[in-house]
This record gives sequence, structure tokens and C-alpha cells, in this order.
Amino acid sequence: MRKIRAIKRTITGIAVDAAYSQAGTGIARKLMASSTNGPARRFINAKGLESSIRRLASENLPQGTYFAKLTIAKWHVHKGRGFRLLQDGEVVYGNKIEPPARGFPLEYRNIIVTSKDPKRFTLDIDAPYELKIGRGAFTTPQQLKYDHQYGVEQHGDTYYSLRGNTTNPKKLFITFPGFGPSTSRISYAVSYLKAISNADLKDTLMVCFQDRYLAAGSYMMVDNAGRPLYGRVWQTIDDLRTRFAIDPAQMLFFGASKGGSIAIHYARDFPAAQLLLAVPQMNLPYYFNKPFFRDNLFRNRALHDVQQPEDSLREYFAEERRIDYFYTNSDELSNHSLIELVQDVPNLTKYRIDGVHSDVARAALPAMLGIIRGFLGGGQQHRDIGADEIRSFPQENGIQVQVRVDSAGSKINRANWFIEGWLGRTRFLQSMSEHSYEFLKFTSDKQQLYPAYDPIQHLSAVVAIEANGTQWTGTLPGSLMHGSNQEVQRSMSASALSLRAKHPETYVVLDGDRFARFRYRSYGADTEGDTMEVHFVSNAEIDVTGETLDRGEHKASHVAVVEPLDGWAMADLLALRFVIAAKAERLLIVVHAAGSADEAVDTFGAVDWKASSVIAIGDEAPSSHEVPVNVS
Amino acid sequence: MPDSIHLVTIVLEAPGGVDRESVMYRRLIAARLRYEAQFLILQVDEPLTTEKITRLSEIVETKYVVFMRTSHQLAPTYMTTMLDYLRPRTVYLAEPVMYTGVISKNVAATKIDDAYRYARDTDVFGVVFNTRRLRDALEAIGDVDRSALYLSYRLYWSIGTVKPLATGFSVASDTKAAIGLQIAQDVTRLVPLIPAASREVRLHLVRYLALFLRGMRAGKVTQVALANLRDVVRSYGLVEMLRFVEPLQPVEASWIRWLSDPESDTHLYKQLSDSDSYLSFTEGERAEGAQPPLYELHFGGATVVIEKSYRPRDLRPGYSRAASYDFYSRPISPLSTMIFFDRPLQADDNAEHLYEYFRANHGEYTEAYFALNPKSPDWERLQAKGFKLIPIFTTEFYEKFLISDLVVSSQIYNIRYRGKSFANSRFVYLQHGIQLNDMTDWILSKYFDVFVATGQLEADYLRKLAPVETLNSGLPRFEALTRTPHEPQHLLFMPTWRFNLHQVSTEQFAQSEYFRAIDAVLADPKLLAFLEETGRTLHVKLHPNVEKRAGQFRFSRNVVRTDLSYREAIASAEMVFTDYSSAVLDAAFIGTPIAYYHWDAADFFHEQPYEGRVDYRDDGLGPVFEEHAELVNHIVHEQYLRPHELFNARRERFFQGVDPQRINAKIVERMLSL
Repeated sequence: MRKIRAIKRTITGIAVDAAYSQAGTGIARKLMASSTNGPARRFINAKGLESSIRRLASENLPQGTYFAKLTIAKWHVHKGRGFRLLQDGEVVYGNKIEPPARGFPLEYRNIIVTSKDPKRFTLDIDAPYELKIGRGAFTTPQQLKYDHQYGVEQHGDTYYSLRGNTTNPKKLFITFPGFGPSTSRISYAVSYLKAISNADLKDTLMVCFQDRYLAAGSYMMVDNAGRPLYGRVWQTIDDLRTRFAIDPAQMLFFGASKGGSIAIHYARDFPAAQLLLAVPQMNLPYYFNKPFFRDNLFRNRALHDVQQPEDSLREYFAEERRIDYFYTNSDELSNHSLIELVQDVPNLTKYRIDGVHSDVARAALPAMLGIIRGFLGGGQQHRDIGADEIRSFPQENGIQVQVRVDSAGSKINRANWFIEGWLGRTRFLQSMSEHSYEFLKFTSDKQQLYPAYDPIQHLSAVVAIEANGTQWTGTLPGSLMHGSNQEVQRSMSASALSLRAKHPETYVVLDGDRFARFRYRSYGADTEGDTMEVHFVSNAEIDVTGETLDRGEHKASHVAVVEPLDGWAMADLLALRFVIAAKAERLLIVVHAAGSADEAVDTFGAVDWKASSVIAIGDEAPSSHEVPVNVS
Repeated sequence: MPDSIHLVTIVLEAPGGVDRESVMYRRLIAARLRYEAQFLILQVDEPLTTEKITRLSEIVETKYVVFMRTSHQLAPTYMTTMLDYLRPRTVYLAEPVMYTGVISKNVAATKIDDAYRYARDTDVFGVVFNTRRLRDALEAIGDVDRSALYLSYRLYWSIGTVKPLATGFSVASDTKAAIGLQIAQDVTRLVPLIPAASREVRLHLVRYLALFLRGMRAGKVTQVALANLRDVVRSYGLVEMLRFVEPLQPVEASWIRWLSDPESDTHLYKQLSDSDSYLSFTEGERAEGAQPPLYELHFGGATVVIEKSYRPRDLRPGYSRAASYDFYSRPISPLSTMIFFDRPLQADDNAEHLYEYFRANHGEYTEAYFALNPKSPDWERLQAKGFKLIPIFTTEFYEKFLISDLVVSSQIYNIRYRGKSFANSRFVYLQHGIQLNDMTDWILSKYFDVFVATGQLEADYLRKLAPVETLNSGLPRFEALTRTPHEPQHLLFMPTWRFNLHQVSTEQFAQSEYFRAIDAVLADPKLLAFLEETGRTLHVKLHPNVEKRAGQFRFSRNVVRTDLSYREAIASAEMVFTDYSSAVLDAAFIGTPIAYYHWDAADFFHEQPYEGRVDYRDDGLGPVFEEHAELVNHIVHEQYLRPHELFNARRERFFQGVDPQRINAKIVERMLSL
């Protein structure tokens, strides 16, 4: 107790250092982990010391590293615009200004900085601001209340709540959180899944991890000091598993969006575990290349260097893990041309939902809860319904489908409906809409099936998944006559983008109802180079090494030779994926088609990369037609 | 003009004299007890026209005036409420809650909503007008028909909304809704074009226009110019109100659309199995040599031609939409839900007989239901027969209707449920009887996929209107009749009904020619003597509308009200006679002699809402008598027992194409192929 009183009394530099020493942090953590009714906690509460102790207990940063809290006033003037916080002229944090919760200031907490002197910081927008810097993490009363409500506790450097059977569970259900709004008072949420009751969890220990790192989470890849978290989180999971001797096959990893990416990351050493994913980000740097993240997570090199979820997932596919994956085609930023196109993977079920990224988890909640309850209860209940009638409605590029179900099917309430087909060994389910006539289910305009990559000829059933875990299946009375476009289908590759494609390979970018195929080669160039050079040519086998280009002082680290098969559409996205894959600073796009220079410039004018340039050259006399266009 | 002492003049239109025993008249008179000094009754013995009303408005001295007929009905509180309301006020008008049928006992509970406003009769009757303002308005709107006066008055004085007083008035007839209205020949415009009409007035206007157009199909000629109709539709935005018109007046709804946009001249009318039926409207004479149109109508100097055509289903707008369901998309199969019904309270008609046949011969169709009101005396009987009964017009019925693939009925009801109606789903209309009258306008306003005809004559008539839909199979009831043991035991008299007797008092009914003619037959001494001598009985099957007045007829030991069903009564009759009922054709079908007694042939078709199509004298299947004595002689001399070559030949021709043993089979074959 004396120690605590001393902390309260002497807020001097030395004392602070001592308090934030390893020993101080350890004691504080012990205190915060003690019983809430115990004498120590009662004393802390009575003296109003809780927030100080909590900050002490928070993760300790290396010497010379601090947490900063930035409060921006008069934010209305800058609403929707980006801002950056600079320390000695270097960006340490940036974001896009969004309104805070009503009645609260606009705050960004737990920015990691290396100086505690506010004078060394500037803001690049003309707005009054306040910067607080300290050794302990900042929090809010709302966050504390939230943590208390959901039972989130700190265990070393990990944070989680435990639910369900905490004495003798036979299963382990692990959830990881997504992002909340950037200005939320609760920066660190958990995926608690309130709909899952204690009765559901009678045989299961549910672990809800909190991504309590950096300003709004680090994808649980690194801690506040940038050190990988993998070992610490894995240890936590494995300790729980071994404590209760849980069969790894009785583990389910779940996450939506950011949580999905984390789930993929931490499932790595549990190959027998199931994965339930909704719209995970496949390539973090690619996802971070947008205003909300460009000046925070994108700048964190550690997040570029970790194994990307896409790579992990491809490994899991090869291992034939059981994966249920919910996604939307209108989410190329998260999908990165994998889930939309992958097929013939055993034990993979793809659930395609319409809408944008943020719609998916909400729209598919009954089905996801059904899958979870199926796991918790030892398997989904399968029941049959009759599908009396199927009709198809050809549209310009795809088809819509209408299915009439029998009276048993008509009585199913609050379920997700799908049309089911098989992509080789992969089960594919496209979400359907419910007509006001209970017997009618249909794919809306946004739920169309596309002959280029959907199993139109192999649609086999209409499926309803209820939140209680019951899955209803009605075998379709006939097949649809509309043939797939075999030629296009063959080239709809789901292969990863390679920086070392010696021979031409195909890569597809898909966004919404559009897709574009590219044939390309790629190779490494100068290891000292800082530029990804992407040549757009009429034939991927053309040798571009002889081109004389004005590269200034820059050199190409990697070169790609790309033949667009479907025009210029989405060529800018391909270029962006190349530069991010190459971890290059700069992007140089060379268009080898003088005739389409204007169109190409239009396409690449919109490329979302800070340092990019486009050169259009004629095929016959490249040097004389060189048209540098700087669009950075 | 100084204000008179009296407040209101009640102008009573009574061309044939006032029925002084009618409830309506007695209620008016009863109000004199308290309000004698406040109202006058002015009896007018000629029909009220706009001109007549204009003249009346000039001579009536009371502050207010209201027009009525003795065939109308008044709530007991009508006079009290009106007078109490008007006494302290000066208003343009006051109106009660208007009904077309029985006045609600709880008038205040009647919901005054869009549906009420659309259904409200907007003739001048029952509404109290400010006499001077009516006179003023008539100077401007005196050229419209009387039926448009109320609406024109509201338009003229910009009376956007009217809150009805808590009392009721009924015009006691819904005939107008069925057959439309006829306006005076010299009228050249429907209503004045005064902008900014309220929604309430626009609802009234769209109904008025629909009824006018419906009436035009019968009347064929008007002096109202097409341009005026177009102006009315456009000025008042009536297309926006068409959802109220469509359920009961679908032809007129399409027509109003065309008036609004003459470029869109072809309108989907009804979905069918192979191709849908469309109505098209064109201005101008029809081309020579073209198929005869359904209608050729004359508006002022312009001609409008209405034609029907069939077009492939896939041309239908919205056909290829996954979000809409096509109730024809799946063929009828043993899994199909089907609903059969006759009248809600009375089965024993064509649907029952077809259902019985269908169940016996197509047991694999396990989801075929028969709908009936559980209060019907037939419920237990049919239950005992093993019918799969469902209570008609209940939620269960409508839910079954929604999932059904087929509805079969002897009645046409306007069934609509969650977007499904017979406009977009399969309906087999079996009919209740045979069309002897010209029902063209009615038929063309109804939705059906199959219209069952009996015999070549009727089929030829129907095919002109519905070439794809007509099926000459005969009525299922006939097949049942041929299978019922035919043991003649008595004579049967089946008089039908007269529309103009709906609201008359007991006394007036007793004075009607209808009552006197029938009663004279029942009490004829020669006939009674014949019955007594021969040990015969005359069974009388009164029309359901007359049952409540049965006590006024002179029944006796040998002249009895039969309690047999129609089928039993006909099957056991040795001779059947009627005035105009087509039910006697059931008897003719099984070879029982029939006869017609037309005591009012000259007036009958004039007073009915339809015209005769079949000439009873030239085509009738039995003799036609206009004199009481002729009918009695025919019976007492047993002339009906003698073979009659002419009637036999006519019968054969009349029922040509009907195979008595395959009536049901033929209908079932067709309905399963829809």
C-alpha cells in the first residue's frame, strides 16, 4: 500500500520511470487482476487511483517510447479531410477526420511517439489541438465500462474475456475483433457475439480476444513497440487448450474483417481447427493503402513483413482445412482476387453475400451463428425441404435465379437463404433474397450468378441456414440450361500475383460484377532499386529490357510485363498490387501502345499510389513518342 | 329573397307516386313531430335532371335543399342530425355517411378513408345543399349531368374536404358500380375543369369517370368530347388514383391510362397460360375487313375502338424479373394446390359437382380443396362426403389461394391477396347457369382463363368475346343431374327476381305486378282443381330475394314452397316453368318439359341491367306464354306431356357439343393443361 501512496504523491520524472519499470508494471498488473471486491481494489477505487494503476499495468514501452493522445478542436472545418501529426517533420500518425461521438472531443489515443516534448510535434492542418504524452496507455471511461461489461481482462500482453464453460470445456471457440469507427470512444472491442448464450456454450470455452494495441488495433500482429505478438497469443491459446486437454479438432477460430485476418494468423499452428471467416483482409498493406490507414498502419513496417493472410490461407487450402468463408465480390480491397475465384479446394465453403464489405457480417449473421452453433452443438442439424420450381432470368452478363420452395420451406423464418453449387470440391453458396411470398426465394440484381466463374451448370440445391444451427436443403428440380463460358472460365485463375513469373501466367482482378484478366511475366531487377516497373504490352512475351526510359535517379527493383486481356479496366488495381507486393517506393507504368495512350493515362491517372508515373510509348519508335505523365 | 321560416326543402323524386308505407317516407314524416316547422317535402313527379334542379333551385325558398327518392334509405337520425347541424350555421353543404347498401347501425364506426371515398356514390342524393349557392353554381355548371352536380358543386366552390355527419343515407343500390352510369344525351362535358382539386375530390372524380366509361360501353354514344375526358384525366391527375379503379373496373382503368397517354394504346389485361390478353384503344374508325372490335364508341365527333388481342407471354412487361413471381410458371401437377367453391353459404352447384368428380377420378391431386362457409348447411354434408373443406374467405383460404395453382368456381369473386388476383393467376369460371341475356360488358370486365359454355349457341356468343378462354363442355351440374334418378313426381315453378323491387315496402311489393302475377298462378282455381284431381303438387322454388316475403303468397295443400335443393327439385319434376330463370335449362337438359310465363315481357328487359340475347319465342326450349290463362291451360290440359318436335330440335341445337357423360372430364382435361 505504501508503494501506491508514494505513486500518488510523487509525480516526478524519477518516480514515473520507477513506476513504469518492469517491477512497477508487474505490481500494477497484479493489483488490477486481483478480485474486484478484495481490499487492495477497494482501496484503489476509494482513492480514485484506478486509472493511474491501469495505465501502469498497460503494456510497457521501451525506453524513449511514449503513448500520445491527440485532441483536435474545431474539427468540423476539416471534416472528411486527412490530417497528419508530425514529430520533427516526420509523420507519426495520420487519419481522415470523421465526427466523434456526439458530445465528445475528437481524440486519437495511443499514438506511439519517441518524444515526450509536445513542442516537437506539429499538425499539418490549421486546427487547434492538444497533445498529451505519457508512459501509460490512454483510455476512456467508456472503454473501461465496456471492458468491465464484457469481462475483458489483461493477461500479460494479451487481453481477452472468457465465456461459457470455464471449468471442463471440450471445445474452444476463439473470436477476434474487427474495427470500430475510428473516432469511437471504445477503440478496442471484442467479438462477444451476444446471441451466443451460456446454454450454447455449455461444453465450450469461448475466448474473445481484444486487439488492444496502437491507436485502434494492430491486427494483433505486433504490440505497441512493434514486436511480433504471435508467440504470446499462440501461447495463450495453447495454454487454454492444454489446460482443458481440448482436441485441436474441437477448436473454432472466428473473425470478421480485421478479426478474420487475425483468425487466419493465429490458426496457423492448429491445422485441425475450423475457421469461420467473414470478409478478412488478405493483404494488409494493400488494404491499408487508403486514407484511413495510409498514415498509421500502412507506415508500420512490421505489418508489411508478417506473413500475409492470403499466403496463410493458401497454405490452409492445401492442407484441406475446414473453412467457412463469407465474402462479397464488391470488396476487392479485402479479397485480393482469392476467395472470389478459388475453386476445387476440399472442405472450403464459400458464401457469397451481396452488398459492400461492411454489410456482409450483418447480412449473414443467421448463417454464421448457425455454423457456430453447429460447432458448439456437435454438428449442424440437416433437414430437407422441397424445391418445387427453379427459373432462370438471363441478364446482360449473368443470370438471376428464382426458386419456389414447398410449405416446409415457406415456414422457415429469419434464416439466410442460398443457392448452392459445386466448384469442383469447393461448396459455393450464393445468398438469395426472400420475396414477400414466403415460398419464393430469388437472387436479386446484386446476387447474380456469372457464367465466367460461377457453377451455373452445377447448381444443386437451395439452402436455408438458421441461426439455431439447422440447415435446410432442397434439391433443385432441374438444372439451369445456361452454359458457362468455358473459355473465359479456364482463364479465371485464382493464383497469387507473382514477382517471379518466368513464363506468362494469368491473374484476374475482380470488383463487383466486373473482372479483368491479365497475362503477365515478372522478374526481379536491381536489388538496390526502389521502383516497381509495370509494362503494359500487347503480348506478355515481349521483351522490354531493351527499352530506354528516363527513370531519373530511380531504378527498377522489379519488372512486370502485362498483357491486358480485357482492355484497360482495373489495370490500375493490378499495378497497385504489384507495387505493394514488391514493397517498392515508386511505381512506374509503361504503356506500350501509343494508340491507346489517352485511355491508358485515364486509367492510370486514378492509380492510388503516392509516387507513380506513367509513360506511354509507341511500339515502333519508343524514344520519339515518349510522353511522360506525372500523376503523383 | 327573404329567408323563409323553413330551413330545408326535401325534394322527393317519385315519378310513379310515393310509396307512403316505405320506411324511408315514414322516417321523413316522423320527423315532423319535432321539426314540422323546419322542413318541407316537395314531391316531384318527374325525374330529376340538372335542368329540373336548376328550376327547383330558383323556386325553393328554404336556405337548404336536399334531393331524395323513396327507394333510398335514411338512418333514423338523419333528419335530426341534419337539422340540428344546419340550424345555427351557414354552410355550402352538409352530408351524411353515404352507403350503397344497408346503413350501418353504428354509423360513427364507418371508416372514412380512401376506400370509402372511392366507393361513395356521388349523385346529388342525400346531400344537403345551400340553395342559393347551388343556384349560383348552376349558372356556371348547369350544363353537366345531374350525376355530376355534387362533384361539380364541390369543384366550383373549392370544397376540398367534407367531414360527413354522424348519420347515414343509402342510395340502396349498387347497380351503378356494376353497370356504370348513363348521362343525359345533350351533355357535352363531364365536369368543369377547375384546378387544385383535393385528393378526396379526385378519388370521387376517378370513380365517376370510370362509371361513365363503363356506362359508355352499354350506351355507345355520348356528346361528351374525348378531349374533355383527356383534360379531366390530366388536370386532376387521375392516373395516380387508378389503383382504386383496377380491382372492379379493369377495362376502365386501362382506358383512363390511354386517355392520359394516347401513345400507350395497348394494355395488358390478363395473364393466360400460353399468351396474355391485351386491350387496345384507338381513336378513329376501324379498318375495313378487320376483325369486329369489342366496342366502337362515339364521343362527340370522335370514334374510339376497343379491341382485344393475345400476345406471347414473354412480351409482357416484367416477365423476366426474378423478383416477381409468375403464377403460371409451373405447370399444374399433383402437388398443386387447387381451390374449388360455389357460393359461400350454398354449395350444390357446378364447383361441387366438378370437385366431386375430380376427387373420384384424380385422387393423386391431394391438395385440392373445397371452400365453403362453415355455417353453410352444406358443410356437414360435404364433410361426410370426404371433401377437403376450408372455410371460405378466411386467412387460411387466402393463404391457400396464394400458393394455389388453380381456382375453379361457379362464381366470380374479386379475390385479391398480396398481389395475387385472377388477373395474374389461373381461374376456371364454371358459371352458375347459361348466358341467355347479353352480358357482354360484364364478361369483358371479368378475369378468367376458362369460361365454361353450354352448347354451341352460347359458345359462339362467348367466343366473340373470349375466343381462347371459351370451352363448350356444358355445366358439371348437368352431368350430376343426368346421374340423378329421374322420377317425375310434381310440377315445379321457379320465378326469378326483379331488380326494381329491392327496397319496396311490403305494401308496394303486394301491389307489384311481379307479386300479383305469381300469386295468381299459385291460387288459380283451375290449376288448384287440376292438382287436386290428379293428385299432383306444384312445388314453388322462390328466388332467394323473395324468400323473406314468402308469407305474402297463397300457398296451399297442393301448392307448396319446396325445401328440396334445385337439383332434387328439378330431377323430380315432370314439368318446370319459370318467367326468365335459366335454371329451367337444367330440366330441359335432362329432357323434362319446360315452359315460360312472361307476364311482363314488354318491361322486363327495360328494368333489368342487361338485355335479352336469346329470343325466347324463336329459340326457347319450351312454349312462351304472356297470358295467365294460357299457362294454366297448358298445364291443366297436360299439353306439356305431348312430344314436341320443334322443342326437341331446338334442345338438340341448344346443347350441341355437350357430351352429357364427359362434361367433367372435358373441363378437367382443360384445367389441368392450363
